[in-house]
Amino acid sequence: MDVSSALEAHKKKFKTTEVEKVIPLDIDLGLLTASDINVLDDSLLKSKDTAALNKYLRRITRDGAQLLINSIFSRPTRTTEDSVIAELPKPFLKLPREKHVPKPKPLTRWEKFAQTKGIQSTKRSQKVFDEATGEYLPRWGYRGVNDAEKQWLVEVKDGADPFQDQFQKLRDEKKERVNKNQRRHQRNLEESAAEQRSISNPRSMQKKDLQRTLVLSKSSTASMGRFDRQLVGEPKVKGVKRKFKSNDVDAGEEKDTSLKLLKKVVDAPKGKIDVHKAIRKLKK
Amino acid sequence: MRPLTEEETKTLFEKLARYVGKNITHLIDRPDEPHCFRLHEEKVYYVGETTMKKAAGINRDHLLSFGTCFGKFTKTRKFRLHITALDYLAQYSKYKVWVKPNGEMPFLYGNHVVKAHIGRITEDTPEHQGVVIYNMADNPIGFGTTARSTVEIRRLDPTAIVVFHQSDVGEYLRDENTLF
Amino acid sequence: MGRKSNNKQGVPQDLATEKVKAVPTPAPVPTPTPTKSAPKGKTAKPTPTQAKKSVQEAKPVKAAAPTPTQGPSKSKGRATKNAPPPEPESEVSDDDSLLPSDDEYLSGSEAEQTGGKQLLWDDVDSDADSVGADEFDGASDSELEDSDGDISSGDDDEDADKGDFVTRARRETKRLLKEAAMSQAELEESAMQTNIEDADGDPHLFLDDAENDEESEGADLATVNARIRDVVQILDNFKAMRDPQRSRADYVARLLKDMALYYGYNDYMIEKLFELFPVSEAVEFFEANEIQRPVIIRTNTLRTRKRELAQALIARGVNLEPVGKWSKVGLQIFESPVPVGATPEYLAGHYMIQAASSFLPVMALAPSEHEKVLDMCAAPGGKTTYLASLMKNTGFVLANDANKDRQKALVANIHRLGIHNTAVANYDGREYPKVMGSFDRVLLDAPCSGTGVISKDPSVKVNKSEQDFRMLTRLQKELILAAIDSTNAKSTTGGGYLVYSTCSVTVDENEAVVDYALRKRPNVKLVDTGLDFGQAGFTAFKGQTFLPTLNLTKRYYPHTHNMDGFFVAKFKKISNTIEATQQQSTKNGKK
Repeated sequence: MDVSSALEAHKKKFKTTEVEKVIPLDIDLGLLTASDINVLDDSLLKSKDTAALNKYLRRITRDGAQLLINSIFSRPTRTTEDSVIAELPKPFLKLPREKHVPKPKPLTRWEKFAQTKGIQSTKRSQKVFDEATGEYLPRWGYRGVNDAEKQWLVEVKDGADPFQDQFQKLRDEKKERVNKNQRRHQRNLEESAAEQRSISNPRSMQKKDLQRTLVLSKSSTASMGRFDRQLVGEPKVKGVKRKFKSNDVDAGEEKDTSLKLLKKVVDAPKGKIDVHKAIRKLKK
Repeated sequence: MRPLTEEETKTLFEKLARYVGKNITHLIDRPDEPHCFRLHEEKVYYVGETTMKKAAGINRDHLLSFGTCFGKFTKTRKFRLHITALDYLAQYSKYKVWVKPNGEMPFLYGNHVVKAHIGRITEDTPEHQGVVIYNMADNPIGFGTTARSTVEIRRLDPTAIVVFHQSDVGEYLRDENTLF
Repeated sequence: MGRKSNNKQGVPQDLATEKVKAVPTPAPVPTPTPTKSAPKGKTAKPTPTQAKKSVQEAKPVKAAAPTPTQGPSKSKGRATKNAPPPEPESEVSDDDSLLPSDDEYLSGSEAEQTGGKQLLWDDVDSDADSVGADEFDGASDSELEDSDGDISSGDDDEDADKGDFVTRARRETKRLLKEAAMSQAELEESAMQTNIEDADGDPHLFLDDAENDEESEGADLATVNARIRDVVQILDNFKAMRDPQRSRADYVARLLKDMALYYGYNDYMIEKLFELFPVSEAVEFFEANEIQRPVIIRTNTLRTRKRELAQALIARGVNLEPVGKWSKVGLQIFESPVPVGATPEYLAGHYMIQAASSFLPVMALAPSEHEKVLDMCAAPGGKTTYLASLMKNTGFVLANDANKDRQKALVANIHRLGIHNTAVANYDGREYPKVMGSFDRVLLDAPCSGTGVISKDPSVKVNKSEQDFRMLTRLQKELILAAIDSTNAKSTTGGGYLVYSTCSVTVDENEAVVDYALRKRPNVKLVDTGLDFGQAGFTAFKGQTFLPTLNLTKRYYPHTHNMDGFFVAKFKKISNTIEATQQQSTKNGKK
């Protein structure tokens, strides 16, 4: 039995799925995107026959969508219980980033120093093998191996004071290291802040900030500091001065700016339409 | 004395536009002498350039008024029109209401205008529109805001309020101490 | 009614002529017959209602007047050395209780005066009519014509309302005549009464001992008034009527004392004002100060026209009339059923209520358009707004006043009358050329004692002392120099003028100040004020001599011009530097 004619007849009921393009479309199936770079009909785009233009645009869109769907069906598929799934490849188009690229962190003193000296930091594993437990433990920090409390035995070095508590010594040294690091951290922050405000000396910035805080705190009384005694040679803090336009602006210039502003105000869309007036106008 | 900031100018124009609409252009762009708006002690003065320049020479503590006071900025930076602006409002107003002689005195005492007192009203006046109020001798005596549109007014009963009172020339006597 | 006739505002001639007609040539007969020698037609004796009023007014003042401090000032006076010493205070305090109530008192005095001969009011009236009518008819006719002619010539250009005003004027004149006749009759009657007492050998005029004081204290005011008239009559014709025992100074002292009592002035003020006038005129002046001046409104020509305003006000039932030939914008209000200061026209800025006298300095200054004008003492703004409306809202007016409280009214009036060319400043006038200078015209209506506006503010009668005058004149002198220095002699608009005015009539606030300014600033000269009425200023007064050009200044009195007492002087600045003018003048002198 030849069913080809019947198939043909059935096929003719639907539009063809085949689309021909001069330049094939760029299809990124990972993002389900198809970009058509074929030249558009310029005369149609510029014509005022909107119906024809709409028809044209709709046809192009339909073709693009058809091609995209065709390529989806060309993918290998697998069937699950209730659906057929086509696995899509990874996208290759790069989308623009939503947020700003983060600025590089300001270098610490050590980093700067290492940079000038050409010192490369060698990667050291964060964990060390603990023979006693047979586990890898952090080299430092929480549950770290360098915790003095955890050592069950501390060697008294040669020439060391035999009566000194070696455990206490370890604890003190650690505390000292932590504090030192914190101070360095603070210093690095200050230096980078000064750099950002383009003040060469971080100390002078500190001084300025301190003075400002001092004066602000003095005026933070109920009387706004009016009855507080001034010290001799106390600097006067300049507040922010409001700046207005001069009285002697050129009349023509002032007129123009006002007119511009007025246009904005008057041409602003109005909420309501006077229905009665509109009806009467239409009747006329 | 200083020129208005952009924000202030906008507030002022928005308020003025309620009464005179686009006619503000005639205030800014005058054929005779350039005029400008100046702020002095939170009051806005509309003044010719020569007068302004001369008044600018007076120490601000000693200067009380110059040109025509249009109104003042409130503490919340809204703008309130004063009766002293009536001259210019009346000159350029788009919508007007005339009150009959029997409604003149009640309005001058600060009351709203009721329908019974209306002598005439500009056609097509919409609701909540700034209007200048005249007596039947065509003298402007104040300004206000319509409560109803012209069409709706026809259906109202005589005691219904048609124009809300905002300012009237009686304030020259009543509010002399606070206004100036 | 009686007051209204006096209120006729206007061209001074009217009043002046009336007075001339009315003032009698003093009869030289020492013992005049009762009817004929009576002084006729002066403003004279108050009508019963007036008398009552003046009694009411005088009562509290009298009680307050003779305080101990006034003793010395009295003795300083010109000719009061013979005057009896000031009354002790205890008597003064009794005074009120001694006075009977008004009604009682009036009827009593009437009875007392007419008592002897049983003269009845009716009799006298008819008598006076028969005598006075002859003289009066002639006067009345001519006056009627006069006033008619006046009005028609004045209002030629305003044909439409001419009829209206003319008929009103006629009505007014008739009323005036009737009242004049009545008051004349009363006068004659009073003269008769006093003559009766005179016949007894003039006992009541002088009792220079304590009795006299007691008498004057206890005496009713009508007697005092009668005595004032007698003394005035005697002083007017001193040779014929004097008592040879008495000097002129005695009479004057008597008169001053009586007037101080009758009108309620303190001794210093009464003497100061008395010096200004001849004796009979002085009484008229004091009398005029008891009467309110008419209400005048000025049309705001920026908003309306005089005729339109008049029609609008007449429609409200206001009775008004143009103020006269001298001003095209003034309207006089006779009576009004509504308050003139609260009509819709007033609120819409169609007119300004201001005294007739305050038109004058502005008219004298005559500012023109596009000028820079300074009003140094501007509040409450009558003159400033008039200035600005004369300039048609062009140029620049700086309205200055030292008193911040009064300036609210000034700013309100400026805005109400629709004036846009004015800035309001609050400086002491003496700071002026420093604040802003080189004005084309300057108006200085200096702060003054207010002796011209006693009818408005009677407190002047008692609360001003020599010290006040000294301070005021000093201030005025400083102000006038500041005003001169603020004027620009090289004005491109044809300006360079200064007008100095006060609402005071005393010489040391007016001529003396002007004279001082002329001597201190040789770069100014007096010019004609351009006002075609008013009396010329003094060139010499009480031994002081002023520059001869001071006769170019103008004085106005309540009794002659029916406006507030006023003084106007107009200066022209010749050069901006004093040295330049001095050199010029010396050169001219050499030539």
